Amino acid sequence: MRKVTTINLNGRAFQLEEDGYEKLQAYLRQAAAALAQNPDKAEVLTDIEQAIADKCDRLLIGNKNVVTSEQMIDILEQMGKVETADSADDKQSSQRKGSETRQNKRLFTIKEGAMILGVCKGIGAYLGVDPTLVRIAFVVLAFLTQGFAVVLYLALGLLLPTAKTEADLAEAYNQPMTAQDIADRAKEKATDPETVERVGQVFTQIMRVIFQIIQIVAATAFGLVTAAWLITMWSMAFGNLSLHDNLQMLNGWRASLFISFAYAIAALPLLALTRIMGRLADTKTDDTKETKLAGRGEGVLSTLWGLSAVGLIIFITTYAGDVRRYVDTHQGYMDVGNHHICADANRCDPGRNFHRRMRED
Amino acid sequence: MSNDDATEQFGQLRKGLLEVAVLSVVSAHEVYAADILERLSQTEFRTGEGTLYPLLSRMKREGMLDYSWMESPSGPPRKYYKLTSDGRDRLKDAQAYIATLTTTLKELGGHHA
Repeated sequence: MRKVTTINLNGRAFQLEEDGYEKLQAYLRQAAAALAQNPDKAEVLTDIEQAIADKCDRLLIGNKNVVTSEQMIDILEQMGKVETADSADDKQSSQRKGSETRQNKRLFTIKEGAMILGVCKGIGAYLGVDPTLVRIAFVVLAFLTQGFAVVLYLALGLLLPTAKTEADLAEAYNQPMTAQDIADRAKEKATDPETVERVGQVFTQIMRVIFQIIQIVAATAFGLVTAAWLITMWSMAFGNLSLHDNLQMLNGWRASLFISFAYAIAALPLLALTRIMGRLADTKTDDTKETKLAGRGEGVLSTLWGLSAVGLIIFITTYAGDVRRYVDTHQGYMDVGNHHICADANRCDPGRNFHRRMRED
Repeated sequence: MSNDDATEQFGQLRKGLLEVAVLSVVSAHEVYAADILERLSQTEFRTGEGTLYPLLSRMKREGMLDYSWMESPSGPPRKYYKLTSDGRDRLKDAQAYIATLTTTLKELGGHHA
């Protein structure tokens, strides 16, 4: 028994087994992609659908009313892959695709060969590492974060686009950027005689490798800080981490805000450093030193950083009193009206008590 | 070398000549796409809709072909293709050129012998 889907081919309804339906969908998707440059794309696609419908019709004779998967595969084989007949079109589209894939690198989920949602496969493709390693890392992370990684996984699975077309896949796999790859690339560039010749200076090459090493270190530090931030945020959200009763006002969203500001202040410069070092190390761009040092992204990053710093300062000044009161209570003091008195003589610091009283009198 | 081997090996050659083959088929009488495929299926130029339809669309765009809708005994109306005068010229030019090429190839071989 196999499940059947009803499809509409150019206005005619057909019953089609699900496997065959998927094959047909893939075929039509490829056809649409191949005809992207064709001004009569819609017309050709309609004709193609009609031709498939005609072939289905010929199969449905007697008491047959379902097109099987095998029959659909056969039909699509007869049709042949849709190619652009115009070689000029071909060249244009491949050139266009080529330049696109050079510039774009995107994080996708990849369903083909995926274990669950294809998140790890997508990340692996993005970073240029074996998806198995990413999966192992995710499992380890799931234990370390007491399950937060699972939530993160689901969120990524839902939010990331799925790589459907070959072009998507090309983007998903384009330009690996792991530390290993950067090191490999550095080595390649350093040993590539042509590059050395063109640049003309071994010194430049050495500088480039140094930039890349700084980039790797900054990227790693950024990753660690981000992981720490995520773990702390998770712990706060799920109540594993809770402050002393007297500091309850610092719990919840206030604490999240505080930690996020602190995170931004620490992490954004690292991110900027990673990006700048990446640009400095990149031989391909012919940008001047100035544009390399201050890309467009850095403006946004520094604005965010400034906002975070201001936020942190406001936060500290707002809640400093609460923290002082907490520390005082902890040391045996308490406030009664306007008086700051010692409530627990065993814990009060005599010198400080005197000082306080002197000041308040 | 068997015919199948030739089909395998001279794909580019056939691809380039497919346009001429289609012009030839359409020049005989008005046909619809399935007729063209049927006619080609018995020759070296056998192909599928996936190749033919984009080709027909381009040839029409370039003014070699034109089509008119005609009722079919079963199913929706069909597009019947015919050559335009441009298409007829194009076919004539192509045939002449192919003849020239064949002669050239023969001559090239002749010098060797």
